Amino acid sequence: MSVIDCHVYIEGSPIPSTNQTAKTLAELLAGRGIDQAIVISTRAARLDPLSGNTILKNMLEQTQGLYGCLATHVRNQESSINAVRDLLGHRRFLGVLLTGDDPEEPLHPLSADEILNACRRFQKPIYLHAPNRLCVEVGLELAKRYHMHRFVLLGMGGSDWRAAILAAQQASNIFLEISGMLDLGRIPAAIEAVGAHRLLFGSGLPDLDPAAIIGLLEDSEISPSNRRRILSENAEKLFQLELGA
Amino acid sequence: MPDITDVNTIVGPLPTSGADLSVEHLLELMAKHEIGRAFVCSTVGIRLAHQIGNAITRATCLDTQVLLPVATLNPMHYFGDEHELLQLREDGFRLIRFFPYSQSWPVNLASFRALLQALHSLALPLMVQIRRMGDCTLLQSLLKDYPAPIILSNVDSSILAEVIAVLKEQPGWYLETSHLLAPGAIRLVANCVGAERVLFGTEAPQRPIASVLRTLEFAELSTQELEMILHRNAERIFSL
Repeated sequence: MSVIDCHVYIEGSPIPSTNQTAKTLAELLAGRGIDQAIVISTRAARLDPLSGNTILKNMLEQTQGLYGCLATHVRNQESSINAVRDLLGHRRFLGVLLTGDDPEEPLHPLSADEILNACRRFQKPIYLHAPNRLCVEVGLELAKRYHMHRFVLLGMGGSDWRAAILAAQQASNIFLEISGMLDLGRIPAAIEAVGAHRLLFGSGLPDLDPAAIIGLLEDSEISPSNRRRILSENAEKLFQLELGA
Repeated sequence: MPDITDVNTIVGPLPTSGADLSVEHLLELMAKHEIGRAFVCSTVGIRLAHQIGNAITRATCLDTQVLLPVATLNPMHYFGDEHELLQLREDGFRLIRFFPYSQSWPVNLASFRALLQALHSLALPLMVQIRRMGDCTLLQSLLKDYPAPIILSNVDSSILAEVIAVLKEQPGWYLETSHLLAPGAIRLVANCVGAERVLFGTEAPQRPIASVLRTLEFAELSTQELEMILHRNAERIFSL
């Protein structure tokens, strides 16, 4: 069975030899049976979207199985919009992350308008950090306002995972990425409320080893078919991925 | 494989959790992953009153050989009753746990300091939840000369540099694995202070045992290091 990790970062880990280069990252993922991953440049998210995403694009072109999520920053609109315009059409970029200074802080919905409008013609899913209820609420507001976009809530609300499930119930263009709190009740509750087809396997590496999230699925009471959907089928559909493409 | 020992399990009601936190579910997960023993405490002690929680834990562990009782103490409920502390050893508790983060008290709280002084003569191992930057450094100033092992719980990679610096200065301090799930984190700790300072802990049944086992599987540890973490270190520290 193929496994697609939808939420991985390159650079920025305090721990050596994990995600500093595309090669070490690809080796780490392959060792855990992960065939494909969607990678976000920490450099682009924290420093400069245009140069960070350009470096990421060059890394992706040389590494099989790795795809990109273009990082944009609401406080750096010009560089972000340039990055969207120049790079988002590239086939290896499958989504767009919208972030601010601190992933724990909710974005102001109005600050996202220009970037979301620039992304319209590409029709690629929008990633949002959702480590808590306030961030989930902003995600829901954006999902309702931009119903033509599909939104991926990273971390599924953290300890406020019930709020993330409620948001996904209210907006059918919200998908929940399952890294975040390792609570054994969380995945079964989400499947019951919104269906397994709305859940995506992601780890948030380097904060969490993808093996830990695979362990969460192993100990959660879910059927093999739902596990398959979460680990790969949903991502294949959402990102129009084909294994080995 | 001899008994794998989980030093961090918690059972009881917890409205924020979606998981089944019953003793039965814990035992089920332990059987599934061949965990031979678990140190357990009660959510009642963490969220309500430690006296009641400890009584529940004691009763729970009387029913089964594989669960070892852990007491919790809340310094916000401590008014200097030393008799209550002496009773803990007589009641068979093997470890005392503190939850500054979950109970929202600062590590430099005066009543925590008083409690630690009173616990000195008891010399039972302590486990302290460490989640905020700076807490481990503060704890070191309070527990530098404590006469029994100190185990740091809930440590994740964001505060690992601070924790490793403290572990290097405190040979009798240990780290449990429940939140040490970043790739390379356990290997880094083993490289810096030795695998003999790491204990297998999971926070089951709220959190999955499989997450820690899978992370350990990819931690590039030798068989000997893995055995230390899974059971040997706990056997040594707790004389199991």
